[in-house]
Amino acid sequence: MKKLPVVCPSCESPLQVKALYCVHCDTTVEGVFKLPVLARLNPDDQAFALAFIKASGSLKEMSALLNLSYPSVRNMLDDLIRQLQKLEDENK
Amino acid sequence: MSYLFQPHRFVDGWKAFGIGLGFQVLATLFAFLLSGRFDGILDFHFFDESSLRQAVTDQLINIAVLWLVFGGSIAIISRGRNRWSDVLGLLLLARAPVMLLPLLNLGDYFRQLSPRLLTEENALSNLPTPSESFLLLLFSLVALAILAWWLVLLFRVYRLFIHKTSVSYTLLFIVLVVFAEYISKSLLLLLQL
Repeated sequence: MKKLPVVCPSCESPLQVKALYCVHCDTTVEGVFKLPVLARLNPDDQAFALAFIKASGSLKEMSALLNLSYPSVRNMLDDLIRQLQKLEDENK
Repeated sequence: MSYLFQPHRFVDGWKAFGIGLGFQVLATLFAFLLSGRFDGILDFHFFDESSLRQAVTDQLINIAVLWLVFGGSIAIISRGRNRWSDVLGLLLLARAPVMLLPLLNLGDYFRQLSPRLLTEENALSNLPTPSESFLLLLFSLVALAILAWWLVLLFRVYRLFIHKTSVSYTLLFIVLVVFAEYISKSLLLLLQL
């Protein structure tokens, strides 16, 4: 699967969506849409967020899933929360 | 290698506590059997007399001081965010390398060598032979490496729990180590053990 670029390769500003395309009926919708905060996370953080939701938000379960200690997973979650807050602030 | 230098990444809670406690029990037994004493959180010396009661008391004081100084600081800095079983378990586990220090006296070689070299009578005739000098140098290097290993593990555990990377917290770590050493040493002297 192709990786969704979220940062401009030229000036490193956050990218926005300009067009959406329906492969079924060939319709194109144009406009300027901000990428959702979760889509702007790096792939590892997105995978962590997904796994965390699937684990019903249980750090203990995440710890077993990732084979990492509870405090390590707790720190990963804290880093993710900090990153989300930063992106949310940028989106305002 | 990761398990040797980053055990805190893989082990936590009561499992870390059990493994850490096991290593500390071994360290205490080795110290008793090989005439050593952990007389301070950073100290290890060989003595002519040793008792199991003394070895156990040394370890209990060191662990209690470590727990109070580092556990307390971690709780304050992280605002009680961590589970106490993780903190205690990983602090105990970080201290595992010190169990190797008493083993340096296998065969009682170094305990017997030190008093002869340190005696002031006939100092010139008591100079170490080249082979003794080499063994002393090797002993010092290995002991320093073990001490460094234990401090690296302690620092990593401290950083894991406070989850901050600024230089001020590294300086605080150094202050805490010196403070814990001072307290543990003072307590052992106060109890005249």
